[in-house]
Amino acid sequence: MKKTVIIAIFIIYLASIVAVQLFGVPATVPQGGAYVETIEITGVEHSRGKTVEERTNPNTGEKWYWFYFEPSADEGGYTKDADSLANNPNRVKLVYLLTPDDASNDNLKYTFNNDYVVFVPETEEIVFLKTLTVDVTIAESKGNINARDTVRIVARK
Amino acid sequence: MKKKTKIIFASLLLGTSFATVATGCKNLSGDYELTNFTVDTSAVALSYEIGDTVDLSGLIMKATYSDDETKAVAFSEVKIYLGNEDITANLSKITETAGNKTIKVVYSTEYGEKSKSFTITVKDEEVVLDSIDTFNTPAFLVAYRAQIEAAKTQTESTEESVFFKNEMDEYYMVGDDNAFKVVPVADALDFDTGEITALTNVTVNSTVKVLVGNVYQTLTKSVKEGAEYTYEYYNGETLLVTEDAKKNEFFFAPSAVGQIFNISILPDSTVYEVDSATDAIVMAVQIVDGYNVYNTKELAVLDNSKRESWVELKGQAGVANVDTNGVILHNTMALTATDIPEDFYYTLPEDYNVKYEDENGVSKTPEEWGMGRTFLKQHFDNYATNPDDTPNGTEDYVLIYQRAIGTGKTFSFYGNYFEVDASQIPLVCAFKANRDNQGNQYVNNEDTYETYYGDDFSNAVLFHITSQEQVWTCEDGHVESSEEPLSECSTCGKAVTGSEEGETFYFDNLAIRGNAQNKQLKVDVSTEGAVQNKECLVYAGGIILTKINNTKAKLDNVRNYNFFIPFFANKGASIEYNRTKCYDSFQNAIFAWGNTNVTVNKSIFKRAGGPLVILQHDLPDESDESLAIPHMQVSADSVMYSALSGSELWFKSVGATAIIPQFVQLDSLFMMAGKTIYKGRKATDTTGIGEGKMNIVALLMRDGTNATTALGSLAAQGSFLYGDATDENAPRLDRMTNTQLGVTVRGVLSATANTTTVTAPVFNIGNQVFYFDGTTVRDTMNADASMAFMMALQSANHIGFNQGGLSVLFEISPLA
Repeated sequence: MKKTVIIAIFIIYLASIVAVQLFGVPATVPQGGAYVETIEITGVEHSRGKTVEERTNPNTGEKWYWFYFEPSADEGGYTKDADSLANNPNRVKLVYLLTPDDASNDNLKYTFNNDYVVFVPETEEIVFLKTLTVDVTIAESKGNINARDTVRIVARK
Repeated sequence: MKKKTKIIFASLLLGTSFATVATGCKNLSGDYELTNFTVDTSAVALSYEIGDTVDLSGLIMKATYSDDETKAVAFSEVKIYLGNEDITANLSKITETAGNKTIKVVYSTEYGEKSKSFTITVKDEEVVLDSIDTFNTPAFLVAYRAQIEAAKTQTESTEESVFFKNEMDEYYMVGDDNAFKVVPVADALDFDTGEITALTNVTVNSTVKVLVGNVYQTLTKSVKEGAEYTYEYYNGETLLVTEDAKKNEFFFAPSAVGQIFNISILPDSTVYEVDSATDAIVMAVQIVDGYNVYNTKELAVLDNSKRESWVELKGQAGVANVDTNGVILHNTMALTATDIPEDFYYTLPEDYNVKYEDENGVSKTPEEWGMGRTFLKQHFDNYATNPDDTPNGTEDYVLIYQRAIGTGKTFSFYGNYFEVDASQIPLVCAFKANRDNQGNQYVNNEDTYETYYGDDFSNAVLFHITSQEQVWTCEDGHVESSEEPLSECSTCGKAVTGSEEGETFYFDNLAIRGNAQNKQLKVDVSTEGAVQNKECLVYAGGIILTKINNTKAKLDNVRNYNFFIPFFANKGASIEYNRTKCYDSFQNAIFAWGNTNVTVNKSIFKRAGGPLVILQHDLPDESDESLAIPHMQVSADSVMYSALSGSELWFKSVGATAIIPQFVQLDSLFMMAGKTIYKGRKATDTTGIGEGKMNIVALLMRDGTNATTALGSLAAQGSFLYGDATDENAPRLDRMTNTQLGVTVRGVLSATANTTTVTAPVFNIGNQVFYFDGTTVRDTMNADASMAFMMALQSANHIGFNQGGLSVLFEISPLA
């Protein structure tokens, strides 16, 4: 009997893991709000009010965004140190929608495919160190692997 | 007047007036006509996209009539045609398709009809150009400029890694035989994908100017007919340059050779969006007669031997049909065995047992030493059955790149300050495969191997330069051509002189590394299982950089490291080595063999494994000895320095070890005057040389036998001067039969020769001659000259040592 109970508990445990992996159903409800079902990036805003243009890839239909990069007066350009970051005006934020409406953004994780951007988690700003193209992915980090979206942002000359 | 007449007259008058009024003072016969119609389009748009609404109501139209009166014409009074179709009521037809549309405005009146046409452009869709993100100077130009700058700012500590500084304006050399490629380093933002990607080529907009006097004049630029993005640049009527602006290539016409151009390049703003702050790439180039070489494969154009294996390699490199008078490098490059014909080298079987031993006795296989088993052949085609194989007849040794210069022609090698790494070219082997009686055929059979360096060290040459023929003239005016030096006229037997003009090899502005590392690595004769009979020095199998025969040559600003011999001046050559630097030569910096005239100006030779220069009188006992004597003059501002103990393996290999103890013994003579030929030796070093090292500046001897044998050949002639000829104290060696010093030296040598031809050591300090009889230093009158010798030593920096067929110039320094 005891063995049976143990096996049953183990099976239920495995099933819950499978359920989470297949269906994205969280094993636990995060504190502070509902879990994130979907994330949709709807735009990109410049933190200093400069224009961010939207374009569409005619081949894929995917939107991407660009803004003019403001170069540094320093010969070495912008760096990752705190002073340089604070003075770097080339910073944008993603505009995104979470479902359900009350989903928490506490567990959102940003990833980038370019090392020359710096993420400021407190303000959710993406700071560009030079002209470049970066694909930014925002994803729910606690279990729902389907809650993610990616956008391309270009800081151009 | 009667009443009736008055009435008729009045009626006529009235009628005429009425008619006049009715017709507006017009010709009463009806010739009033519309004479002109104008359309002003300035107030309407002339460029649309497909589907746009066209509004032409802003057209400003005027009609002029035969009475010169002009009136405005309203839009409602005209008709609009597109082709033959009246589209007045449907102007949208204009923007149904893209293209340039001819719009006809027709104004019709009872007085005539006039029309005017104009063009409306309809674009397909909004055209968005990719945007240039970065636009930078090509890497080759950055490297070139860095070398120029390094030369300008060099210090003592950077001397060995930089070129000599040029005082004059510096221009980048470009050949006229093929394209000069200037590909900017650029990337662009693709407005479809948002990716910033590197561009393989950049469509550019260039400006080309030519230097006339001291002023650059802009050339006239026009599009080549039928070739988009191909431009032709003219100076007046003369086409000087053609540019493929998409491929980033410039083609200079032969008429441009010798001229200097300024090229300025920017991205083409009709193809890309270009920031106005983008800096142009600007460079000044000088056009020369030659072929632009961008990689090691293309360097094959240097060889014109017609060897089948070279022809094949040239074909693979796309240069099979190139006939050129020069080579211009446009890149740093590294030469390896794959860049030279396969029949020049072979690979020793893996199971052949061989080891190399260093000066510490460490013995390892070649692989363990980080070396390969591929070697250049030693005696190559020695028994070739096809003597007409090449323009030079039967080959001897491996001559990698051969260039035979035609009569009266020149060949130039412009390095453009780039570096060539030839350190991976295989060494000449220490092993000789057996030959069959048909030739030097490599036999892949380990039983036939034996360790053998032959009679000499490596004679493999990287750049072998010769003239196809030289013109000889006798005093009777008979002229004949010959590849080899002539001693007499074949017609009358009288003496001949070679042509003053003609074949010249120029070699400028190149740094190059060889494969003869200055390591004391020798074949380990104790290796079990192998047949090795000689402690051959492995790196004595290194290559010679240049061997120049039978032609004139001028080298300038050539810097080299680790060649067996960098500069080999061979018979018949007359060579200037200007501003050259030779470091770590395995044997010498310059080897002058036979009748050569060598001038060295402002050069630096350091750390050779043997004497810095060697001069060999070829066949001094033969009847044509006058044609085989080497002469060399080195400017006083040249630096010549080596540091040798005399116990290095090289000395053993050339049989010089027997004479080294004599040098040590003689040095004690110099030490009495507080001087030594072993710089660093102390007065307390009485039993040995201590830390002392010799700087052997020059060695003059008879032909290629070793030093011990050369001692017995008094007939050896030649001269070496380190300084100005008018300076009596300039260090020198002189064995000539027609100079005062030479005759004096030869006379003392002959007089002191004993039955075995071993002579007393004869010293010359400048033009002063002394000899040592074993106990006393004497002068040429046989008087005791000990005091004079000591005094001469005090002020001397160099001393000549002459014994038998050897003459050696040492640096002599104060005791440490």
